[in-house]
Amino acid sequence: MKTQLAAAVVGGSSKEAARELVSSVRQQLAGADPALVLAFASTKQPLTDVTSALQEAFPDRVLSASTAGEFAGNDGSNGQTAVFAVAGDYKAFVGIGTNLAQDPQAAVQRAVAAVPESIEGYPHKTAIVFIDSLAWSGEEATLLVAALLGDEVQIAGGAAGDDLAMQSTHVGAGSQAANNAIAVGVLFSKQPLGVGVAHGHKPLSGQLKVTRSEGPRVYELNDGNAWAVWKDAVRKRAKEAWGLDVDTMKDPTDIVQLFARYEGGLDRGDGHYTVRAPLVVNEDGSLNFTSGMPVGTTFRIMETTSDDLVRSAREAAERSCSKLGKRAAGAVVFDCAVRKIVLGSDFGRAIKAINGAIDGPIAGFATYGEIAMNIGELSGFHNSTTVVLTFPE
Amino acid sequence: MLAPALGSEKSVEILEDAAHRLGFGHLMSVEQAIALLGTVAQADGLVGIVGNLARSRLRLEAVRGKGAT
Repeated sequence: MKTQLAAAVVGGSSKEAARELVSSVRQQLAGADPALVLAFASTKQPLTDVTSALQEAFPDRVLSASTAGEFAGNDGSNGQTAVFAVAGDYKAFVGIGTNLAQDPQAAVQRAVAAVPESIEGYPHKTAIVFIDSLAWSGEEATLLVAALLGDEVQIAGGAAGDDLAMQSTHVGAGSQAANNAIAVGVLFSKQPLGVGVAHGHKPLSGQLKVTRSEGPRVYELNDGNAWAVWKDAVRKRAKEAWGLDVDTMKDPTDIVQLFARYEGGLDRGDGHYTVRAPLVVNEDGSLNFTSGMPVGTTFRIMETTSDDLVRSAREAAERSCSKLGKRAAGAVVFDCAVRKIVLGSDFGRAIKAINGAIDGPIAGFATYGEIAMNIGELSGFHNSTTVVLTFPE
Repeated sequence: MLAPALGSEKSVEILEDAAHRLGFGHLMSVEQAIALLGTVAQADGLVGIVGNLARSRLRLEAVRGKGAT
């Protein structure tokens, strides 16, 4: 059976948006029943309202996340809800686990409880994971999902957003949506899906070492206050390249502008870097990352340009397509919210770059962290990347 | 194995520390490597989680390797 995909984005009230999206999905799929429906809702359409409306139309197959921007095709902005639906030779299972911060292992176990180990005739397994990374660390959550789903699973997804308020993000499965939670959808397929990731950042600073931390909260770098060290490392370049004055930054919105351009990069020892971004500066100058940063971790501060980000979006799409072994029917895109900040009006250029590599329906959202973990890998959470999950024809 | 999640320098530090505690040298058998990762898996937080997953993967590889021969 050929893969059929639908993608749409609309604004308005939650109920209006959900009604219009359901109608659009049904029309695009021409009567085919979707195996999985992904919904990406801005804070203007509370996720609980959107998911309950979608659940009525597509029971027990909706996986959702709140966003910091959403899009379908080349059309996207803030304040809307996007959907992506897939029909064809697929079997899907969705679940959600709450109290992620208090008991991560139990939350992940609940989210994957309904997923069978295998399904005869559907040899390929892909998990789509949405997490509240303001509640718990993204890398740890991703690795727990990988451990529970077994060796032969590839994972894509993202950390939910809240239009850069950095207060509360939500994820959903079926009729339930919650913060402090993880939502997992597992797709069994007859053909492999493709996962591609790229970031477009280059090292700027010398090596920095985490000398005091607790989980994802870093208090000290090189034995100095973390925020002070970060500012010292980027002060000159931020002023020259972007006109940003690190010494007058107090507002979280300004600070996000800085972190969008200067992020941490873990040296993987193979010439590549895993990007780790701080999202919040606390009053004591400690930095909240979205993954654990144990004492002794070393990294460099990275920098990027708009052109590098656009190039990397295309690269992620091409890497994803190369894993299909055939033409892509369409894709879901998880793109870091901070890339959107750096790109500004050029964000559309990055989406067009992805559309240039994939001729088919595309939808996605701006995340607070992206998930891409191919089979056999031991890390899956990224920052400031584009992750593309492609579906074969 | 651990470097994508922890960076190469921290990964080397963790593995050398675990090897030292177990009295292993740089060359070790698969069983010793599994035991080494078992020690890493006992750590708190990200280090323990990635160590645990690495140990599971290595165990599986070892079983597959034996199956093939």
